Amino acid sequence: MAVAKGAGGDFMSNLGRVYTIYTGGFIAFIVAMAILSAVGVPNKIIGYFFMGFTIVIYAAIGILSRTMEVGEYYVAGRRVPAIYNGMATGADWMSGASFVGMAGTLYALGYDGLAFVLGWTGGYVLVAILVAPYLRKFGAYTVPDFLSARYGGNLARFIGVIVLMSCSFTYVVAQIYATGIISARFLGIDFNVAVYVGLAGILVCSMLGGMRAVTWTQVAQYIVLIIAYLIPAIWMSTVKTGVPLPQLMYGQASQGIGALETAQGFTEASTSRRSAMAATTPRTSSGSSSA
Amino acid sequence: MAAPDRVRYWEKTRNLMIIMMVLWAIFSFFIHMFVGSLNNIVILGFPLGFYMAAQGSLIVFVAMLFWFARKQNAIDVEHGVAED
Repeated sequence: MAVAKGAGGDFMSNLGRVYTIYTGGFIAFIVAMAILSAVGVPNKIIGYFFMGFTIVIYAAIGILSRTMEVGEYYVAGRRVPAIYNGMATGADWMSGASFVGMAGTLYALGYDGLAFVLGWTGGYVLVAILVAPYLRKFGAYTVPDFLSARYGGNLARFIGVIVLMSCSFTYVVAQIYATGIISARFLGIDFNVAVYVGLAGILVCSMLGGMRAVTWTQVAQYIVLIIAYLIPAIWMSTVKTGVPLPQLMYGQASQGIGALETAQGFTEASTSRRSAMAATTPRTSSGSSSA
Repeated sequence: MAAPDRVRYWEKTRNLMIIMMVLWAIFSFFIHMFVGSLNNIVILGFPLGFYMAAQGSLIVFVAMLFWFARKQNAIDVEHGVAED
């Protein structure tokens, strides 16, 4: 598709400018929402604005990135610059499964939950050493494809598929659960409906353009996410400890929490896994908690 | 790539790979077996055992990746298979 390629070429050479304009637009949007909130617009309306605006922007990027070329659809043409690829991967990392799922897991399991964190980052090391360079040089689109071509036959491919699905399953469940919870809260609808609404939003951002749409949408999301993650954390760190580096200061904060817990009589038993799970199940809009 | 060159290339790549895997195993599993005793050391409010799982190992992994990419690129360039 000559037109799409031409537009793609323009886009690729102006990445920095495009995303700087986007960041400026996003900050202007936040300021506008702050003004609305100060004026007294109810939170529900602001919630709708936020969800609507962000979905519209991501959907627009997703539709603009539509493609019919296999290479673009599966691997974004293999010409995404490293920094933007990193941003896209980072945005995938920072999405629902992390700030809802991982946070909840750490709350419920404590130290043991860090196994997931070590697994994810340690996994990047393994991928970088064992899989990624060979996959790219070989030119395959998926890991099972590569395995079957490299080792011949279908056994390796089958094992690859099994491993892929078992790993992805945990993660995707966490993602969809988080999507449902957030959509339910922001839109004020039932959890079961919210899941489908969230999924529809995801579909419209990624179906037409595959990996290409996903990458560029995720770069946009990264900008939103990194601002959203850093501002509260840095704010809290500055207010509580005077140093705006939450990564260094949360040790001090957790000592404070430990002292408070002891003072209020929390023991191992009362912070048990079951009570933590009970406190974190999502509620339907009717007020009863679903299992 | 000439045949002996390919053998040399794979030897170097494999050795680098093994170094990385050993370091990965140490910081993913080995060091966390000593959480209890490491927790007695407290730096900036972080018990060291907890800190290794929460940030320490991750920082090491990222540093390892940067080092590995640089090393592997040097090997690739030396054997003429670098990507531009």
